[in-house]
Amino acid sequence: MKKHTSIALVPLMAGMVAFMTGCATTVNYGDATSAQALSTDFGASDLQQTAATMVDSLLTFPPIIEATAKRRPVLTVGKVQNKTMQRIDCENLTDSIRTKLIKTGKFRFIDRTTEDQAIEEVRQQQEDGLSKNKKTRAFGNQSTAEYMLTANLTEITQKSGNLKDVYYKFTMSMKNLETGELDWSDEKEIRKQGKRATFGM
Amino acid sequence: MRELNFKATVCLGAISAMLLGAMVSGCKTSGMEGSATAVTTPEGDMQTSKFVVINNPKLAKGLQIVDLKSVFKGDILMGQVTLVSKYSATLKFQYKFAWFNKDGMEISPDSGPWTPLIMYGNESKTIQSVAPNSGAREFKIKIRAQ
Repeated sequence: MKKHTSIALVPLMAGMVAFMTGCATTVNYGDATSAQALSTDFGASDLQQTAATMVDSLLTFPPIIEATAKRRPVLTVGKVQNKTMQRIDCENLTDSIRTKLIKTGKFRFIDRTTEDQAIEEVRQQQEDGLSKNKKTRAFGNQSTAEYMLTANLTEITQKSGNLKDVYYKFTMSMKNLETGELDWSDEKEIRKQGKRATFGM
Repeated sequence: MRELNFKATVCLGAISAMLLGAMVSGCKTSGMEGSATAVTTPEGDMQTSKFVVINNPKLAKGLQIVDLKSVFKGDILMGQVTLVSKYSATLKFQYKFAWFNKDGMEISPDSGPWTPLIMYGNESKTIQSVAPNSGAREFKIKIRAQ
């Protein structure tokens, strides 16, 4: 019996040694744009791919090409409806889309989320008596949005045994605030599959 | 009693061997890359010059860049790459577009994402991307194994 135990302990001990030496905690910088699927959750790469697809689609849609040929329309971003079961910071996604669109030089944006700070700043300029009168900003001159970007993020999850399949669909539309029409819309689909290992942690 | 102990030791041995196996198989890495460049003249002519760099012959064995095209959508450059799988099995890899202005300076380096792509056996696929702004005159596609 003793012999059998010692035979079995050799690979176990080797495994433990490898485990302790080979898998010690290490920290490295990674590629921020890498497409590494670590789980079926909506991850950083999914966000980047979705933002890129939406921007590419918007920029190549013929009516948008026409609308942006001679002027830069003013846009605003509405709230993304997160209909998934996950807690996803959808503002992060729309921030990426807005940044990319601004960097194209074809659109201008207004941002309602920083309105309170802007009002405070303008009021400060007008009331503190430190600024030159000509250079203080006046109320009532701000641009208004012509279009609003609205979006939905949905997921369909299926499980079978140790296999998990998650389908994400991000749908974005550009609503003309004058006419109420949707002047552009597109969707990005992502499918992720995860298999729980029979042996693993 | 003896038989029970023998079973227990065999089981222990099997678990430790599996542990070793799982660790060895779980640590494989990849980081291979192939790239191609297409050039469009500042006048907007579609003289796409095909330039393929293979950094990874193993990947090039299974995947071929058969066509590079670029076209202006308004004043924004759009690139298209046609790929053909030479394998009968499914190939999984990632690609990324990089954009350059007329002086050859990259526009927003590292801003585009690596995008995963699955190609089934002997399939041909086109992938497209749009330049970040109207200054782009040239694009490059980078492909690496997943």
